Amino acid sequence: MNAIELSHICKSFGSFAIQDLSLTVPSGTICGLVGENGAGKSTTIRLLMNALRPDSGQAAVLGVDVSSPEFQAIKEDIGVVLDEAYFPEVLTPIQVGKVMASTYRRWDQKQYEDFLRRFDLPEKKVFKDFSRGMKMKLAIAVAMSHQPKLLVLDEATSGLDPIVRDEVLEMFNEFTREEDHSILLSSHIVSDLEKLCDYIAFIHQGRLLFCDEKDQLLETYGIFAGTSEQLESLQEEAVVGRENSGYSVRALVQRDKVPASLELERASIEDIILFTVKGANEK
Amino acid sequence: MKALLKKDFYVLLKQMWIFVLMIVILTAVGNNFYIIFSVVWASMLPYTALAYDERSHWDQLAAMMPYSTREIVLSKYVLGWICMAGAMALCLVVSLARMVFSSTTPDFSTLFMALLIGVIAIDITLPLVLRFGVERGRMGFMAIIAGVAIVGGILVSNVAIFGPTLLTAPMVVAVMTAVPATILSIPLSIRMYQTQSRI
Repeated sequence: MNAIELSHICKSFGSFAIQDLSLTVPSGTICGLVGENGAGKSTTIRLLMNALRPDSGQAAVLGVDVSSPEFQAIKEDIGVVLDEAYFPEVLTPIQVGKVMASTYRRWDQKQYEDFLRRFDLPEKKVFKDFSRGMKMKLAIAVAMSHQPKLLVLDEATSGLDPIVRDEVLEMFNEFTREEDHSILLSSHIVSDLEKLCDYIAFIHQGRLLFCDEKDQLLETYGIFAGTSEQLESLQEEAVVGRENSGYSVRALVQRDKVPASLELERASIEDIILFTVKGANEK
Repeated sequence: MKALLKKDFYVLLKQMWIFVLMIVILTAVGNNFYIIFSVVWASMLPYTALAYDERSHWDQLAAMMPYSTREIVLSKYVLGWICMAGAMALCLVVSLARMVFSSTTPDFSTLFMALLIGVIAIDITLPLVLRFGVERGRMGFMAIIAGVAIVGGILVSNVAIFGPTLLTAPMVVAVMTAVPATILSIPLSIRMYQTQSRI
């Protein structure tokens, strides 16, 4: 079963639109959603949680159509962390826990308290006095304390210091050791996604440019470094994007479309994303 | 619904004691107008909770949680009703305490009228506030609240002069207005909330 299935989703806001977005996250995997600011990552998350109605297309989460009445119950199985924590600012973590205990049927108060201790969150301090990192930690604690099967995380690791970020990423990794647990994680921090994700989806100006297995992406692409004459000699469809700097050229190429004798550097996920954008902009 | 009410009570907790104190003072020293004012004022508390929701963008998080739109909207009505019931109970307790020092007896018809006015005020203003937000809806909301409180206050204050029959007709009208207004207002609010939050 797929944890998330978006099929030909379109949503227009006038100057910005999500265009024909299809995305599948198989159950038991971690999918990283990458894109620049305003690319449509948060909108995609709102669409898949039925917080926004698409103009066309269909979305299903954990096998249930999000527009159906049954989806309300499925939300029990989804832990969500948005780009901000959005709890009323006068609440304390203890009060947040009490509200969530009445919200989720499978709320695990002990686990929540363990998270508060693990993240070193003061139980009686009001939310507005928290730093951004503390707010995100509280949101993560809430999202993971009701035994979810799917985590939907929108920039959940931004604002965390590197040590806590590493710990949180390890927690996410642990979470997917259960075979029916999945994560959709949007982030600007490509290194986090490269470390954690099985799939990488890249969204640019409302369009999904690719969604592939991370290892497949790393195997498919390589970095060509040479002169522009050498690059011109390659098949046009082999070159995804290029970067000229004086006499030398760097380009992202598809390994199977260039001669095997051509020496290529290993492309990182960040390279693949940056060159894909350059290629898309050139077109 | 329980979770949403709990959240709103935690949000309102800090200012609750000022509210309680004001009601006690107004009821202890004031006339019927102040009783009406206290109860109608209690009907405004859901808007304070809504203002906190707006400031923290709680609606965005709530949309991700297993709350239905109906529950979210209905919780604000229920919060208003609970706050008004609480204010009424407090007014009654203070009025009973006043009996010890004076010959005045609690005026149940005034309290009931105050409740009806508060219910109607919520019915009229909540759909507007849910559609346009607390900030933009505030002016219209204040005008409506002030209007109903003044009219109600004048009516109730003149009972002593013209006798209790003065209240009978407006109360019948108020009951006949409050019930259908609530029945119409709740689905309208749900629609307004959906329009506002799910573009």
